Amino acid sequence: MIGEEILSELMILLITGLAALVLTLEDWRGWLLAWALMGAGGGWLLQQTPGVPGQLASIQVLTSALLALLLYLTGWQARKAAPKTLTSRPPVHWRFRALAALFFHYLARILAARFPIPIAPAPILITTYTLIGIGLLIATLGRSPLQVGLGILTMFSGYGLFYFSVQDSLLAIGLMAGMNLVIAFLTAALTLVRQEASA
Amino acid sequence: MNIPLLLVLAIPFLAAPLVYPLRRTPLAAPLAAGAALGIVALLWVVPWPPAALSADSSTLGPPVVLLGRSLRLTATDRWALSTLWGSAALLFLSAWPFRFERRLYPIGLAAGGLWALGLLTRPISLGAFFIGAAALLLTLTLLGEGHGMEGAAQYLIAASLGFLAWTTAAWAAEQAALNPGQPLWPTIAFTLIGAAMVLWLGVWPAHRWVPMLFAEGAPIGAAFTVLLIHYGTWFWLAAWAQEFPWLPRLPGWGIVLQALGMLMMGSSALLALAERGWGTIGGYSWLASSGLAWLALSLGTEPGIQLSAWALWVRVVPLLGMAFALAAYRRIAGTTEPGRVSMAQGPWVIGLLLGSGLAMLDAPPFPGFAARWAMTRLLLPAHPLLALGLIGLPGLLGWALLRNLLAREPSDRPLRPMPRAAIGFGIAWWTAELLLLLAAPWLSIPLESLARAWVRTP
Repeated sequence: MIGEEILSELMILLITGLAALVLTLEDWRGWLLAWALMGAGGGWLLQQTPGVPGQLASIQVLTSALLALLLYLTGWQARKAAPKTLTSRPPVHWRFRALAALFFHYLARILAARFPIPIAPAPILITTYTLIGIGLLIATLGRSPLQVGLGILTMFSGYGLFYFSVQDSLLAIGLMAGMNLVIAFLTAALTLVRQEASA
Repeated sequence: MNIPLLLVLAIPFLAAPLVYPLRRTPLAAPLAAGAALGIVALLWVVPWPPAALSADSSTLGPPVVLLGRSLRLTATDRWALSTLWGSAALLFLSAWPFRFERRLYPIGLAAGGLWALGLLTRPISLGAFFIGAAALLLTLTLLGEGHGMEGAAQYLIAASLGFLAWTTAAWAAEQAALNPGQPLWPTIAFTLIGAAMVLWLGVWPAHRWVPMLFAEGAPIGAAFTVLLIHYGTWFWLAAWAQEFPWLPRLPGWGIVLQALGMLMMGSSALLALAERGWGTIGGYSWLASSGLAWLALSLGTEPGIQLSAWALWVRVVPLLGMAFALAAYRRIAGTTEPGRVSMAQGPWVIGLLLGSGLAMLDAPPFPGFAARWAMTRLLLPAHPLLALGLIGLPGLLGWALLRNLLAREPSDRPLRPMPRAAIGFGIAWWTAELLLLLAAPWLSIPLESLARAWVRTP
């Protein structure tokens, strides 16, 4: 039992670290790799949550992998036309961004402790709040559509953990996964339109 | 099987792939507008037989069952869909002369179709997904030819966060219905609905994307987006009130709506003073003027809701005029910065910008003034300061408009000639405003039934 708690705690820290990497790295391939691993970590966390069917964890992992692949192909197609827009440095230094990620994680822990939601388990809530906070920061600081999209997808990834753990309707779960796809599609479209305009 | 309802829902999804390959041709706009008008015609021409759903609610025709969930059309929904598709048809036609608005036709049809699907789907928690997908999809209509990316990205962030708030609010509202007596769930639902509205309606401090869309991107795409978001949210809120009758009875409901309306009007009027540019001021004017509808809705009475619906309806024509004029200005000067196009170079465009701006601010004798005056009179006995602000705040925006008109910044780049369509559109717009003014007393009568449906709770 204690071992499971430590493992779950480690996984929360790992997911936070990976989200912080998406926030701090300056190379688009690095963002995508960290983001895909973060999705897989989320799937693992979901699998450890009592009452959540194992298939949902697989859906989370599979969705993350597919979306990362889709965005990688988008970046690959866009990189020749205007590489600067893909790998552009955000206005805030990476140390401050890393500090902000830590702050969001701390805030998430306080929020989860002070305002618990009865049905949702605490580790899921902490991860959800952290990812929504960091995702928002990635999106608002991002200078390329790919980074903005990845920030939004990070928020959705965090929210998905919460939603999958409390929602019984399979149709709703499927639609939530579909929304991730809509965001990824929009990100790809915005990235390629931007390249088309800069070319 | 309710075939007409299926057709109403299917037409946009059938028309969008047909319009997409034609989007660069002059055929796309009339095709898209034809599809939208066809839906409106279907909604009013078909004799929908009333079907009793329960003792105190009825639908038009039997519900359609899709994936095990029911889609039902009520009298309120018919108004909602007619407003949505009627306005969409006018916007499609307005975008006809502008090449940079070409994404609007297929995406507008698909987004409108998704919104309609979400509005009719029950339970609301599932409808939220379709409405959210529609709001997200609208991002693509905001891009012009190589401009408008920043506004579109900001809109995408606001729309995504708003969607998450709506979905969680719907889940919490369902939990409240399952666990009566627990105050946590209604509080979560209520708070998140407020947050979602702040994000989607562009209320201060989440307002930046609205002026940016009009200033940077494709103005008619921006008008379509704000129109669908505002009108759609208004009607969707009615669906929430009918699905969860305890929601409008919560003590803070009216106060939150009032605060939203006041914030939209007050902050936009003040912030516009520090800005310049026709697009930016246009965006703030839209925010300030649509705040009136939410303020009227906060009254929660039949006259208040009728006034709110009228205040929304009457904005369609000024919004159309403003969007067309901004698109024409952008085509002439390549920007919406003031002073680039003089009255002599684009008389119809500048005339439309001024006219639609004043109509948006409800200046007399434009038809919107009647709604603002009625609202001022309703508020005067209980809230004299609020009433004074309501009638005085548009003056600040009027000042911002005047400064734009007087600005002189000759362009370095050569100007393109005024689009010929501006003359025809200008004549049609001023005629429509005049007709609206003359017919206002009769046009507002059908909204009584809409207001009754809003207030009535099962």
